[in-house]
Amino acid sequence: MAGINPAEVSEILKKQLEGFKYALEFEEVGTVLQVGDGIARVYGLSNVQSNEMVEFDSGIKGIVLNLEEDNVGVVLLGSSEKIKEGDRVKRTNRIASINVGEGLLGRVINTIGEPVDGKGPISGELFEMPLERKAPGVIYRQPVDIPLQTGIKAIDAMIPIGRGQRELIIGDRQTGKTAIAIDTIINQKEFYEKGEPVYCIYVAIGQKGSTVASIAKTLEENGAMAYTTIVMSTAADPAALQFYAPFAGAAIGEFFRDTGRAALIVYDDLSKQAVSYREVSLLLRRPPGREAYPGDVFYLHSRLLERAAYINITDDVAKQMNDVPASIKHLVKGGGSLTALPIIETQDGDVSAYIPTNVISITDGQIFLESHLFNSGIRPAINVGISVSRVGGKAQIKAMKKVAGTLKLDQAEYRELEAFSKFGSDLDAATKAVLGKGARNVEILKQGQFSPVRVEKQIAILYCGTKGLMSEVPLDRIKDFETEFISTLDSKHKEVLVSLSKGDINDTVTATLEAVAKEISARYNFQ
Amino acid sequence: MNNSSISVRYAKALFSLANEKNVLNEVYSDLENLLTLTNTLPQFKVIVDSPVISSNDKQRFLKELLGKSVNDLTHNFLTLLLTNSRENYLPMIARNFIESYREKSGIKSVQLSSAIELDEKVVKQIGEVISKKYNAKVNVLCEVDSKLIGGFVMQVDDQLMDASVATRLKTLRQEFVKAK
Repeated sequence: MAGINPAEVSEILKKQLEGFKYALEFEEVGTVLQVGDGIARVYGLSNVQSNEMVEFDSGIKGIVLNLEEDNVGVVLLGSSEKIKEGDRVKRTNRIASINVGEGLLGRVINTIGEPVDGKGPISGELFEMPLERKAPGVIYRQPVDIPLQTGIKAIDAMIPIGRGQRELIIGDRQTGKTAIAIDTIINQKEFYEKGEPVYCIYVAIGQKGSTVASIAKTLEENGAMAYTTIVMSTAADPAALQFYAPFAGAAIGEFFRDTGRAALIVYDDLSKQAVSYREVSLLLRRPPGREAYPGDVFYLHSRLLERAAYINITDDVAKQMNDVPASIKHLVKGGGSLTALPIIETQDGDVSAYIPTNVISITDGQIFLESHLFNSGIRPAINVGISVSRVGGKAQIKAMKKVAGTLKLDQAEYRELEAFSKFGSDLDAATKAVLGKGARNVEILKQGQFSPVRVEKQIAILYCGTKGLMSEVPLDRIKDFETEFISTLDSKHKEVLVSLSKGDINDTVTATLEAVAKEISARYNFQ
Repeated sequence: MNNSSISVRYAKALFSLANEKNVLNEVYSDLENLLTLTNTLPQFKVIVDSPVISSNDKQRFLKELLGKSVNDLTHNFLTLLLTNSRENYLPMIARNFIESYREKSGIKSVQLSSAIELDEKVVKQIGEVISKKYNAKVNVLCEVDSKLIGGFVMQVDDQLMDASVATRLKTLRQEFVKAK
């Protein structure tokens, strides 16, 4: 502020004053009848719409959720302390919405789009996007066929995720659910650097503020914040802010999706969102159903996840898309996508509880994480047997499809035989080979946190696994073998990696891979 | 969930009976008085809503308080509410009744708050303007509120026109804060 010219200040003020219009018109108002527990009942507001924002005398905002015969149920987006019985409530004539723009990248915001990271106001042009919006219809969609690289070998090889897909991450507490999502976000750096970014949105629902802070720090340190927005509603926020947070995230994702770009959204986690929705519903006296959730909790999640889509690549078709907000109508482009990674936390592995079964049935597949795998050192603790991706191989590059094609079956066979082999020690050579290969594959699929692997390197090492090129390498040296193998390829055979990254796997490539593997494995065998 | 349906039904029943017996005006003024009573006298609401006080005691209390000043129908209605233990719905029922009465008789209630006391002539003029605009009879209630600093706030049913200096200053302030 040092060198500021006083004339400049008054010039700015003058401009603002000029733009300041004071229109005198009738507004619709109501009176607070009852307030408490984050809910207000309001008398009046006879023309108010469902989901409309209203404003209380004290400046606190609310969203209309219940329209009854003679009163309106409003959820508060702030503390109810300042609201008294008899206070005036004003309509804003705005359906609940959030202002979205490129300026949100690298920022941490709350459900209503206010920055909470202390970096000042959101810069750049902002477009108003409604929180609740109908998902695009079938005509405006395209089958999922571009992979979304997570950088996690087990997922990219066996449970591939495509752009526009909804893949559930489910597991008990402390099984690494968030870690998978964060690794996936970090892995998108490759595309950001290439100039074809996959914009990421991480929605934290009902988490500790410290957890969100550490996630933001991790993303920052890994250079992932440049293309990421964090939407947070911590456990201390009102329930309404918590259950609207995923919708705010989806609105941001839709902005990128509808302007022809790829986006990835992580909802961490939807079980907490369901709990806060249950809280609000019970306070609004909606009838409880199973596990006291309201009847429309399925619809709550299905309409949210349905907004993940891969939009038709033809611009003309995309431009006619249903329910496009007026603010971005002129920007609509085809070929954009929104991939959703919802997270559900189970209690003691119980996937047959209400919310897990609901979300499993809504999504296009699920990644199961198990605590016994986690504790036995298999990390990421993915149970490959019951994890699926219903979009499947269409979302894999050709080379990966070829290499990983038999991996899932191999591993299934391995697990079956492994259970058997525990009974006796006499095993024939064929069984031993299957067991050895399986155990080595398990080693390959282990991966540290925050260390996503590029797809071409995944293919190279998985090729060694599926072809049994490491049978001579002792189990505990597999990781060393992998590191050496990859670094040799990186330094001496760049062309192989380049060709793999394009999806080409031909005889020269496989010959090189086999030769390098043989050379390195011989060294380990000797020791 | 069924809050509103209860009060709407009671109000409907009372309204149609009062209409049949031709005592609409009396019941209307009774209920309006009761509503102002609940709004201005918190103790009244406490006693009526209290689950500890028996309905017999409540009835005695209401009888003593209102005495003969209320219409028989209003009296019967209050007794019915007490026997059905719906007395805490009284304000909602009164509001619904008043609304349907005003709708039927075409009366708009206008609440006019101003920073300084208004001339009767001005009030009358405002009343005429409103009555012309809505094509209805108008019932103007005036109030002086020094917090407005200047100007006036006018509310017609649930429509509000805020022309007070206080609000203008507030909007101006918000505008600058936003621009910053």
